Amino acid sequence: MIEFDDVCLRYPNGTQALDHVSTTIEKGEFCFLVGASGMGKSSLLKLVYREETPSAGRVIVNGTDVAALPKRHVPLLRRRIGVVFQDFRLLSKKTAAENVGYALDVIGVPRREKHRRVPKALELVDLLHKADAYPDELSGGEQQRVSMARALVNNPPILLADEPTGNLDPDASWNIVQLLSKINITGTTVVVATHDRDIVNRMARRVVTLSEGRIVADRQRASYDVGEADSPGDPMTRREEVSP
Amino acid sequence: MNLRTVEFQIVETSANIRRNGLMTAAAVTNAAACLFVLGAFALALWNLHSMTEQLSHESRIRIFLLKDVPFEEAQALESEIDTRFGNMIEERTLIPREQVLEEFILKFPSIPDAGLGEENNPFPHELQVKLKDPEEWRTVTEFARADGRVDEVRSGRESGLEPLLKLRRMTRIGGIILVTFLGFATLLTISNTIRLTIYARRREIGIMQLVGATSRFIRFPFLLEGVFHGTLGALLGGAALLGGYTSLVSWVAETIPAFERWLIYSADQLGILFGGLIAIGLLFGLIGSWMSVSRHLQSP
Repeated sequence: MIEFDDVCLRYPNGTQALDHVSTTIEKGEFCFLVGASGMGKSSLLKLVYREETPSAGRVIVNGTDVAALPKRHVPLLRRRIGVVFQDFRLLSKKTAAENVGYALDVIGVPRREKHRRVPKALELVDLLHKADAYPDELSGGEQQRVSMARALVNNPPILLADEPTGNLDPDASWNIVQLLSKINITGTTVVVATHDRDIVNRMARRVVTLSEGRIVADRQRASYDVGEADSPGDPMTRREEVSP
Repeated sequence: MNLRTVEFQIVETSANIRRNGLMTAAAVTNAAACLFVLGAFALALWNLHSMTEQLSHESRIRIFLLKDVPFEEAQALESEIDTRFGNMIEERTLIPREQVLEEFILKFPSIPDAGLGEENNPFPHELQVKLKDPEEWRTVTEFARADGRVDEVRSGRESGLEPLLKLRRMTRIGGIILVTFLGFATLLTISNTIRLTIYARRREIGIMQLVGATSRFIRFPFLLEGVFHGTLGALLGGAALLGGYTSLVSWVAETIPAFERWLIYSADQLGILFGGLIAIGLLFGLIGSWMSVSRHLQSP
């Protein structure tokens, strides 16, 4: 479903964000990308929805080389990928339902279809009762759930979440991750970039650890500190290349 | 783009204009001020050009014959000029020396007649020629100067026509350059203000891109807004300009009536100016918003 093939990413300021990264995330998988801030987690996600293009290597999403995609096809790629951010990215002057519906409006979904899909998406995130509330009338956790409803309303096969719990308290964070898990059960591939140790350990899913732009560990049903028992020291800086 | 999308875009655009009231007011006011200045310059140059145009057209070539040339010979010269340059001439008048003297005495009654009369007339017959295109003055002048019956020809430099023609050329070329330059400055100013309104909504653009909106879809409401800003600005700026100008013309008519005839005042001419400003406002709003939103749509 998502394949990174020897991917490098160097930003114009010279920062090497990713350094020869190769891994595959299978269809329907739930995967955590972990690592300290600035280690390349967000950069890896940005490559999937073509916010960035790799300096070298290939990023294959559903069999398509994303970097080689003509610019006019990028919106079509993004309609097949839901993205959730730490800062929610909601439009403050639109209600929860309008924010969710906006994702359908911009791709020209008929009104009747929109009115069918928006309540469904809000129901999925358990916020149907707050459909008419504006973002500043909602808690952080609720805003993140609206953002997830928006990401899911198009039924994308892939959901990317970049630090989705970064602004939330532990309870709200756990609810969000539970929701991501529920979405994954329906067959959606979910990739979550996080440095929330507690969440990762409690979920016990696949964990890909990044450090200085390289994959240093990749384990199934792992914890945040995967590999710690293998060798002493900071797991974030350990050079342990692991094949997927 | 289907009908549903167009409807959504129009509803969104009108909502954005309402929601971002302050930015809308700033963009419209700026467009109005810029187009007012542009229109004022264009109007001033148009007036100056029209004035020089009228003056140069009113200028005549004055051909003074030798004093001993009889009136019949003057008539012969007139018909020669007519035959040769008839298609260039708008109007010609042969004034007999008796009439020139009469007019002189009427004009300067305080000067003692000093024996001026038919027997003692210092003036020659005079032929006045008005050309369709004043720029052709040299051709007629040179022909008249070469004629043995002619004493003196006053035109071009001597009659002040040449500097007037120069001024007319300058207002034509300089006017085009100045209005183009000002137009460009106006476009940049309008574009920058629209860029501010777009910058304030870059988050919205980011979200639109994120959920898969095409560049055309994102651009469209901003173009509509740009057209709205530009057109409304032009309407306001144009109305203020014409209001001010008509008051100025009324004031000139009362204060310096002789000057009124030089001013552009017909409804047709002012209509062209107003229509032109609206077209420029609309076009600049469109181009300005296109330029600004395109910058925000740059992505890999």
